[in-house]
Order: sequence, then structure tokens, then C-alpha cells
Amino acid sequence: MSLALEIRNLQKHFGGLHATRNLSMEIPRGELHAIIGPNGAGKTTLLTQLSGELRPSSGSVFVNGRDVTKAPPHKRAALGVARSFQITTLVKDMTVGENVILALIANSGHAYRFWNRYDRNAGLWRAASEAITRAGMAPNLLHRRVADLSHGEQRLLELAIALARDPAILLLDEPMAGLGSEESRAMTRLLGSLRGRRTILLVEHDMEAVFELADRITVLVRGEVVAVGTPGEIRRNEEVREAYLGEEA
Amino acid sequence: MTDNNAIVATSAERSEPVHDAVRGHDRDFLAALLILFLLALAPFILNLAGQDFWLDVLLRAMILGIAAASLNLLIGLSGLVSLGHAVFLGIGAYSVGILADMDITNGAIQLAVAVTLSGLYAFVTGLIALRTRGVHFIMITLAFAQIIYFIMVGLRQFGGDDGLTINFTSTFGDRIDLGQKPVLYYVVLGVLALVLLSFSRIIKSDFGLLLKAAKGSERRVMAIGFDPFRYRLAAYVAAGAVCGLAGFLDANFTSFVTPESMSWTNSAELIFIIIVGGLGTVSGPILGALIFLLLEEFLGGLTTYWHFWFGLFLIAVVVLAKGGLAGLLNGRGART
Amino acid sequence: MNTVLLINQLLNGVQLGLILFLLAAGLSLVFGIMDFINLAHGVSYMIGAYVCATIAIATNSFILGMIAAIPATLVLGFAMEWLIARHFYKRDHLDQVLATFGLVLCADSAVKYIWGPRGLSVPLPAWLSGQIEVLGVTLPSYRLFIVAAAAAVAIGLWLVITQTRAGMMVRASASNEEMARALGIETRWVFALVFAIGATLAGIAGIMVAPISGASIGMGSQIVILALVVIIIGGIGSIGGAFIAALGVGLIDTLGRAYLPTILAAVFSPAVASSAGPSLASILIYLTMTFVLIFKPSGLFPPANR
Repeated sequence: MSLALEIRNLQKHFGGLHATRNLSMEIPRGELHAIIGPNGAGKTTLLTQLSGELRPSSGSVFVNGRDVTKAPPHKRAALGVARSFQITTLVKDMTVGENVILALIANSGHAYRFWNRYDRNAGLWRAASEAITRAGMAPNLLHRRVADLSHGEQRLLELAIALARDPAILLLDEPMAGLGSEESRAMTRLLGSLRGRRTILLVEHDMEAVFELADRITVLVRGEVVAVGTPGEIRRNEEVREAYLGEEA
Repeated sequence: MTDNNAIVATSAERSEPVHDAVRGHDRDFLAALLILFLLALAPFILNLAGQDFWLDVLLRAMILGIAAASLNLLIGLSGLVSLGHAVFLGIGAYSVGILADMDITNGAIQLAVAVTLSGLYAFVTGLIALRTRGVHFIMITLAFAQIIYFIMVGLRQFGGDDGLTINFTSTFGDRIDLGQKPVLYYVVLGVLALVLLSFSRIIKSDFGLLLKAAKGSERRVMAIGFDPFRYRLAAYVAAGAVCGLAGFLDANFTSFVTPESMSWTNSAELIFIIIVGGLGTVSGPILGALIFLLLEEFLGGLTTYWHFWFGLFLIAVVVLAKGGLAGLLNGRGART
Repeated sequence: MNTVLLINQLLNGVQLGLILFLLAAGLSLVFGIMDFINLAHGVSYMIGAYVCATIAIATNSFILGMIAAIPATLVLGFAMEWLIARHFYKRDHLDQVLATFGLVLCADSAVKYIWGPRGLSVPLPAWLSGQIEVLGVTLPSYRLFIVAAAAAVAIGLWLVITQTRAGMMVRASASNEEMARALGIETRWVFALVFAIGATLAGIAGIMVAPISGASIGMGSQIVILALVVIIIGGIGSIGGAFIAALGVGLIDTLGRAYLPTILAAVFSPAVASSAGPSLASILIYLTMTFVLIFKPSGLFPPANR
């Protein structure tokens, strides 16, 4: 069993505040691993350290056995790490298609093409159309401006873009946040369909979805790992029930 | 042929608002073509009307248009507000002036030096400036312009404060001498056409899409796997080199270059030109340059205090016409 | 090296630094609080100098000129805020740069129309135009007067911002506009007041330099660039940072102008040294800013809340 993602003794503090405390995790290839924990547990902080936007204070991160601790986000993306954002970072004044096409261009390795016409490249638009359909979006949204999309559609687009890069490792930051129950179920189905084919690290508050989807779950409280285990084990864990699940229920 | 069919299929899928935007782009491109066409005819018409003076105004407008188009790549497409872009006009013009001073009038050499030095200066300063954001970028580009400005003020052997008179114009072989007005006019027009065409291609290229995306969401671009810095640096160097080319042409037009041409107020005028013409549009830079010079001629003829009215006009443009005049013509906000 | 000359140059450097601080303080507050980049900040500097010169010439009293010019620039500040600035607080920096550049053009033309293209010089009263001996060193009394007056204004400003309720309201508005509004602070008035006081400080700076370099068209657009450099080095929004950066820039510029030609002369010909020296001194400031930004991208003392 080979590890897709390995985290060793990760620490991050902002002044006196410890956001990540001596955190170690091992995530084998193909696993759907969920991270849960109360607000302020440092889930998003962990994710941004994995995507490379935030440099840890100490410790290291390995992707497929390679030390990427010092690699910036774009280098990690090239190694097959893709992330979705909790607060959407889509390019608002471009169309859905253009946002996806940007990711497809990235697949070619660079964008030093000054004279081509992406807007007339039928193959590219077809691929973009397929990418949003795969993520559960209606194909007729392709030419809609992102600013005109609903919140749910923007979440789906986030995922479509992450998937368009054909990543080995997918970091998802609360993909269900702000979705209606119908949309949540669609998102759960979509993530379920990816299980086993990609390594997924899922930060999520929707417990129903987490327990349905995850192979294993890590519980994070105040930047520390409290428990790791299968959904069944986590459900039975007294400590977790008291510290976290009890409150939620 | 299958490719063609697919294009038809995709455009059929397009929803209405995008249709407008696409048409807006085409209209913008057609407007640029029309202006270039009229500029090509202008010498004949003005000659018939006995108004040769206006030829000089058009020449200046075209040279400023080239400089503004290069700035448009930075501000319009990449969102990089440089307040020191006129420095490249100065570098280009001083290259001609200083080489001519050394009796080198070979246009190819002068051109190569002007463009290379401008590009090089853009590269070196871009490495530093592009690590800053917002108002810091505005100020550091200004600082890099001021540095060259004060160097030229200090170099008294090249005229210092008073500027440098260029006694010899650039020649390309025996036949082309940029000192001849008609030759210069059509060379400048050719360069302008090439620059505008390149811009219209770039905004629809992978490179242009990336710059536009990096302007809207830098985090997204990095998460996808691009380093925006490199692409911005490429754009910055290209913009500097093209503006250096405009400086080369300007030196041949005015036969004179002063440090004043690099002052921050000149850089602000270049920004005005692209705003009034329409930020990020193809026709904007030349349209804006024509408006700027017509205003200068018109208001300057009416009153010595024309800068007052020009200042008011500038404020009004910023308040009222967000997409510039090209935006009004195209019926859309070009600033998106 | 001549000590008396050095002390005189240091005094000149401190004086330029304090003048720059008076300009930079308003610029920095306006930028820090309203996120507004004001290229027209030099307008009230110029108007302050012109009004002071006009009144001083008419009444033959510099003090009366000062007394008239200070409220004039305060009114000017309110007018500029009401007519132009407040409509651009929420706009992007590009629009602000262009609109305030337009304002600079308007103001320069208006001054040319009212006072003519030639500048004005301001007569000093006898008690300010002489020399004073301090600890055995002869110093021009007007320079000392500027240093003392500007330092008093700077200390007053610092006291107002840190010690008074009004200052607290300004700081609250700066860090969180929503919160300030919830606390019942009328941010619109705070903004207007901050802008107008900034303009007045710039006006005071203009008044003070008027007897030295006169009132002239374009004096504002030159110095506003230096003031911008100061707030970038000091950290935007930080008054303390602006103070230190202003003194630093003032000293670098003055000492550079005074001594670079001599230093250069050791290496190059005297002709080159005397022509390149002053421009090199000007470059030094921009190089300083560049180096600061390379190592500290938000300036030396960025405010904590930004």
C-alpha cells in the first residue's frame, strides 16, 4: 500500500495561536479521507498548508513520497494536487467555460501561446462542456458568466475545475457548505462516484455526507488529532462523542 | 470539416448575453480596422484640403497610440496599474538620440538598441515590481521611472535638463529614411496596425486568458498550476519593448528628447488615453490618443488655460464613462 | 569635514523631513482610512503657499499670511473632499489616480490664471531672517523656526490621534468601518474631517517652505511624489512609520545633495561630479524605497490591523 499523502509533525502557529499542533497523517492512494472537527479546529489551515498557500512553521508534507514542504501551490498542482475553495475563488467576470478552459490549458503545462484562439478551439470547448457535465452542471451553463451563477452552481464549478486537472489528490474544503438538501445529495453522489479512483481529503461539516462517504475519518480539535478511524470506529469513540459529536447532535 | 461543424455547434449553444459580448469584441475590432483605414487615407485627404499640419497631429496620435496599446496589455488585460510607463518612451527615444550623437544613424541598430534596452529594463524592474501589489506596484513603477528620469537629468553630456536634439534621423539602407514625413507616417501606421492586431490576438489566446484570470483571482490561477508571476513578467517585458519602439519612432518624429518625456505626468496621460478609449479594448488606445490630441489642439487653441478644462474632462470621464468611448460605441462595459 | 557645514546640512535635512512628514501624515491617514490614493494632495500645499504669499506681500506680514492661509486650506480640504474625493473612496486605485491627476491639472491651471505663470516669493520679518548662534554654531533662524513649528504640529497630531476621543473615532473608522458605524460614529463626517485636516497639514507645509523656495506652479505635484515615497517606506496608514521615513528621506536627500558631488569628485572629473551629484541624490530616495519594498513588501512599520 503506497501513500498518496503523508504529513509529518506539522506545526503552524500565528503568533501565540497554535492552528496546527504536531499533526501527522498517512493517507493511502485511493482513500476518501474526511477531516471533521468543531469550528476553529484548524481544518482549513491544514488544507492550505497541503495545497502550499501557507508555509508550515515546522514539519513536512509528502506527496507520493516526494517532499513538497517548500513547494508553492503551482508546483504542487503540477504534481497532481488540486483543491477546491470554501470561499469561491472563481474568476467572476469570465464565463464558466473560460474558467474550465484555464484548467484544461494548465494540463498542457504552460500558457505561452500568444497567437492561438482558445475561443475558437472546438475541442477545448467540448472538453469543457464534458467537464461541467461530469460535475453535474447543465451544459447550457457553459457560456454563463460566473457572477451570474447560483451559489450551488459555483460550488459544482469549483469541483469541475479541480477535476478537469485530472488530479491524483483532491483537497476539498466544505464542498457542501451553503447547498440545499437536493444539491447536497447530488454532491454526495458525485463524490461517491469518485471514490477509489482518486485520493480525496474532504473537510466537511455535513456529518451525514461524511459518514456515508468516508473510508476513514480524522477528528481534529484545536489543531490536534483526537481520533482516526473508520466511520464505525469514530461513531463509537467516547472521546469524540463527548468532545464533538455530542454537541452537534 | 468536422472542426468547422463543431464550431457551429458550440456557437449555437451560446446563450444570449455572451452573444452580445462576442459581438462587442467584433465591433471593437472593426472599429480599430476602420480607424486604421481612415488613417491610411488621411494624408491624401489632408493634402487635397491643404491641411498638412494635421498630419503631424495624426502622427503623434499614432505614436502615443502604440505606447498606450502596450500599457493596455498591463492595465487593461493584466490589471497591473503602472504609473511609470512613459520611461520606456524615454529609453527608446534616448537610444536614438545618443546613438545619433555618436554618428550611428543605422535604423536597424538604433531600433535593436531601443527595443532591447527597454525590454531589459522592464525585465530587471519587473522582477522586483511584480512582487508587489496595488498601490505599492503603482509607486514602485513610478520610482523606476524617476530613477531613469534623474539619470538623464544628471547626464549633462546628453543635454541634461534641457534635452537632446537629434540631428540625424534613422535610416534603413539607402532607401528608407525616417526623416521623410510620408515614410515615417506609413511606417508608424504599419507598426500601429501590427501592435493592435497582436493585441486582438493576445486577448483571445491562452496567454491572454491566463493574464485576465490572474487579474480576477490569483489564488485560482495558482491552484490550477500556473505561476502568475512569470506570465506577468512576460507581459511586462513585451509592453516595455513595444513602448520602447514607440519611443524610437517618437525620436524620429520630434528630433528631440528630454527627461520630461519620462515624467509621471506623461505616464498618467498614457493611462488617461487608454481609459478614455476603453480599457482592454483593441481600438481603445488609438481612439483615446486621437481624442487626447484633438482635445489638446482644440482646447489649446481656445485658451492658454486648457489644462483646466482638460482636467475637468478627465474627472468627468472617470466618473461617467466606465468603459471609455470604445465601451460606449460597443454598447457594453469594456472594463469587465 | 566641516562640522558647521555638516550641522547646517543636518538641520536642512531634518527640516525637509518634517515638511515631508506634514504632507505624508495626511496622505497616509487618507489612504489608510479611506483606501484613497490622492495625487492631488499637493494642491493644498501649493495653495497654502500662494495664499500665504499673497497676504504676506499685501500686508507685509508673514504671520498674517500664515493666519489667513491655514483656514483657507482647511476650507479647500473640505471642498475637495465634498466635490471629488468622496465619490471615489469605493472606486479602484486606477480611477483615483486619474481623477486626482485631473484635479492637479485643474489646480495648476487655476493658479496660473489667478497668480500668473511666474511664482511669488515671500518676505520674512526681520526677526526670522537672521542667524542665531546655538552652542557656538551659527544657524539660520527661519530653519530653526520651521523645525520647531513642524515638530510642534507633529506632536500635536500624535496627541490628538492617540489621546483624544476624536482620535479614537478615527482609529476605529480606520480598522473597521462597519463596527465604527455600529458604535454610532458618523464615518462620513470622520472621513471629511480626516481629509480636511490632512489638507490643512499639507497647507501648513506649503506655508512654511514659501519663504525659502517661494510659491510656484507645479510645486505640489513634485513634492507629493516624495510624500508618497515616504508613506510607502513607512508603511501605509502608520503615522509613526511616516514620521521616521520622512526624516530618513529628508536626511538622505539633503546630505546626498550636499556631499555626493564631493564624494564623486574623488573618482570622476569635477564636471561630472557636480552634474551627476544632485541627480544621484534624487535617485537614492527611490533606490531606498525599492530596497525597503524588496525586503519589507508592506513598508517598514505596517499598522497591525491591515
